[in-house]
Formats: sequence, structure tokens, C-alpha cells
Amino acid sequence: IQFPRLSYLPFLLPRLYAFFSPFLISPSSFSDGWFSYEDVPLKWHYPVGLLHDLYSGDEPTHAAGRGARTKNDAEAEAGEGSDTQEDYSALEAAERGPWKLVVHFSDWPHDQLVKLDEDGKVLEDAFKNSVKESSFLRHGTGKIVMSLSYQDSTQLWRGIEEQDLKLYNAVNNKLLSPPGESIRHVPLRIYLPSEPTTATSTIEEDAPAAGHLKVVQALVEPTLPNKQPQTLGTALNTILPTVFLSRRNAILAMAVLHGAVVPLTAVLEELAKAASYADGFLHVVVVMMG
Amino acid sequence: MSSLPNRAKPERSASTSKPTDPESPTLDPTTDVEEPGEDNDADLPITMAASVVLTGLPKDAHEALEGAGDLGMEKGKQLLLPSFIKHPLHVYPGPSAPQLSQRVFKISASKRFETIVKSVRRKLKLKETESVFCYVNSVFAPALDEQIGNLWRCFKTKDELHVTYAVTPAYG
Repeated sequence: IQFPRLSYLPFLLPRLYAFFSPFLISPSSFSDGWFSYEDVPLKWHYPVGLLHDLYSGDEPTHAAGRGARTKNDAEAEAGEGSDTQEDYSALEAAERGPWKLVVHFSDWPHDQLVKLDEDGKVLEDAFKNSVKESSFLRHGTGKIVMSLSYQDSTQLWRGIEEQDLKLYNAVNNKLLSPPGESIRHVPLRIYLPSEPTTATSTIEEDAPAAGHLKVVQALVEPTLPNKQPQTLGTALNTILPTVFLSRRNAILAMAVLHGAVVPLTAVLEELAKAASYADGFLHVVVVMMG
Repeated sequence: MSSLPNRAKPERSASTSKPTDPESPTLDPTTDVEEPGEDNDADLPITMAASVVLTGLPKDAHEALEGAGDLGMEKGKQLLLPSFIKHPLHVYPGPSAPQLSQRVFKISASKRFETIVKSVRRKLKLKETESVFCYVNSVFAPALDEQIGNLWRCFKTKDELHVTYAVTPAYG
């Protein structure tokens, strides 16, 4: 299955459910469907591209040109319940084949995921609230997103559902550059890996534990106090000074957006205009360099 | 926020929280909204595939990651708040929502937004079938897994995070 990075996983469910339903033991509904990769449930309210950057372990692309339009091959595997997942070594993952996910139609992980509903309202609400949040960040007020007409906000969502950039952009442009408003902050969310918790690190050296993920969000102004434009590097250096020692060069870690490594000298405001996810955020994944 | 003291990382913030009694109309602004033993810190698990690189990191990279994101205090320059600091939180009833006797709470930054929603539910004594909606700055409803620290940092007004609750969806 080819699936755009900007979209959301639950859109795949009706199709997958139709395909797998004859094989399901207990009858369920497609809204019972959820995805996992290596036993980690995937958050359906994150765009697919972000999930891929976060979890797949694939090497990010270095050629900047491919970035934004790279399609994400997600191949769903049959898996009623669990235990059908094979082991994927890091080697296989590095070959950049399709990203193999497991779809489940039972045992919803209530502690980790919010339940979906039949007519997709939960997903739509989550998306709209994310748009509101990014808009609030961008202009420091909820006025702009709140003043969208019902038609506009429905159209924005239809643009996502139908993967129709024209529909989406018509409304999104109103959000990005409303007349008479300047950008206060760049909606930036950073996903930072943290150490595997090795409480008894001496014994099981061979069995590496899975790490954790930290989400960092801070107010980032489009220009620096000295009137220079804020770049990705200056922002990361300010927010995570220990990880991004230099404003220009990636020393310990890289910033990955849409599967591509972004040069730290990229101007943040431009980046936000050109490469935000559909919810208006720049979801930047920090990848440590080994 | 730069004037906050430079403190070491805590064991676990839940151990310092005390239970709140919804019956007693206390106005103590330091009451926590957390329940003891509730472990829903905002850090997410990641997959092995994505963790592989972490275990093979050189020493300096290890050190850089440690505490990054919640501390960020390099040479006295403290830009982000340590995640254990309790943040003031002002809870307002939204349109046609019942009042709460207590309005100001403190919550640790490492908790998820879900903690607030659960707490409001508890305080309003809602039934399983009733729903509650919580909004930040009367504009948007954050995802339940968003970290309080992040929200507070980005959306506070005079050092308080303003959360509005309603029993019916509000703010289209």
C-alpha cells in the first residue's frame, strides 16, 4: 500500500478491514483497528510520516531534494490479535523496503490510545484541535482559527480525507498568512529519543532495551534578538543546547523532517511555510548519530 | 522562568503528590491534581528499530541526551523548565458547566494532559457515560498525551495555564 506521509493511519482501516474481515475470529468493526510496529502501538493522531521517522529506524535520506514528496510504503500485514509479527533486524529495516506494520482488530490498547469511532469524528476532532493549537502558536491568538467558517474547517478536513491539496491549501493559506497578522512563533515540536532505561545495565549488555521518546515543544520566534532569522540550528541549539552544540553543524544529532535530514542552516519560518505537516506543525525528529 | 532554582532531577514526581478530596472545598492552591501512584508520564515508548542507534552511542552523545529536553541548563542558562516543577493551573468552567469549588491546582510538568481531564471528571463526579471536554485558553483541546510542561511553556498566561472544561463540546 502506498500512503502519503501527511495522512493518518485510520484512513486505511475501512480498506484493510474489508480485506481481513473474512479471517477474523470475532466480529468487530473497522474502528476497532489499530496499528503497531515492533509491539509499540502507533498513535493514530500522528501523521504517518512522523510515525515512520520516529519508529521505523530507517536511515533518513540525505539528499534534500527527495524530502517532502517521498511516499511512504506501508505494507500492512495480517495479524488478528497478535503473535504474527516476525522479527525484523535493523539490517532489513535499513534496506528501506516497505515499512511493515501489524494491524490489529482486537485488544485495543486503552492505556495508550484513545478509541476511534465509526464515523471518524474522533480523528477529525483530534486533527482540528491540532490545527487550532498550531495556529494559536503561530499568531499568539485563537482568533484566526476560530474565525474560520464551518465550511472552511470542513473543507480543510475534506482536503485531508481526500488527499486533495487544492481543497486543503485554499483554507490553509488563510491560516498561514491572515491579513494584518505577523507570525509570533513557529509551531515546532521536537521528538527526542532518550536513553533506554538500563537499571541493571551490567547483566544484559547484549539485550538492548528500547528507549523512550520525549516530546519537546517550546516557543520559537521567527527572528533572533539580533534581527537575524531563526534557523533550525539556532532554535535547536537554544532548546536542546547539550544535543545541538553547534548552530550550524550537526555534531551529535541530526534533525529529520519528512524522512530527510534537514540542514541546520535552514530558515525556520521558510521551513514552516514549505514543510509543515497538515496540522501546521513542524514535527522534527532528532536522530542521534552513532 | 529563568529565575527558577537549579535543582537535581527527582526520583518520581508522583511520590510527592497527595490525594485530593473532592468533598472538602479547600482553597489551597498547592493541591495536586495527581493521584498517588498514577504513572502516566508523557514519555512514549519507542520501537527497537529506532532504539538500536541509541545503545551504540559514543559517550559524549550519551551525556548530551541525559536530561536534555527538560533541563537544558547549560552554564546557568536555563531555558526549559525541569519536568518535575509543579505548574500552576487555573481551571474555569466553560459554557453551562458546573462550578468547581477549587480553581487553582498544581501539576507536575511531566504529566500528560490526560491527568487534568481525569481529575476534572473526578471532581465533577461524572458518570462513565458522561463526557467532559477540556480546552486550553478556550481555543483548543490538546491531545490527551501532550505533556503539561510543553503546554504550560507555550500557552501560559501570567504563569498559569488556563484550562476550560465543559460537559458538551465547545469552541467549534
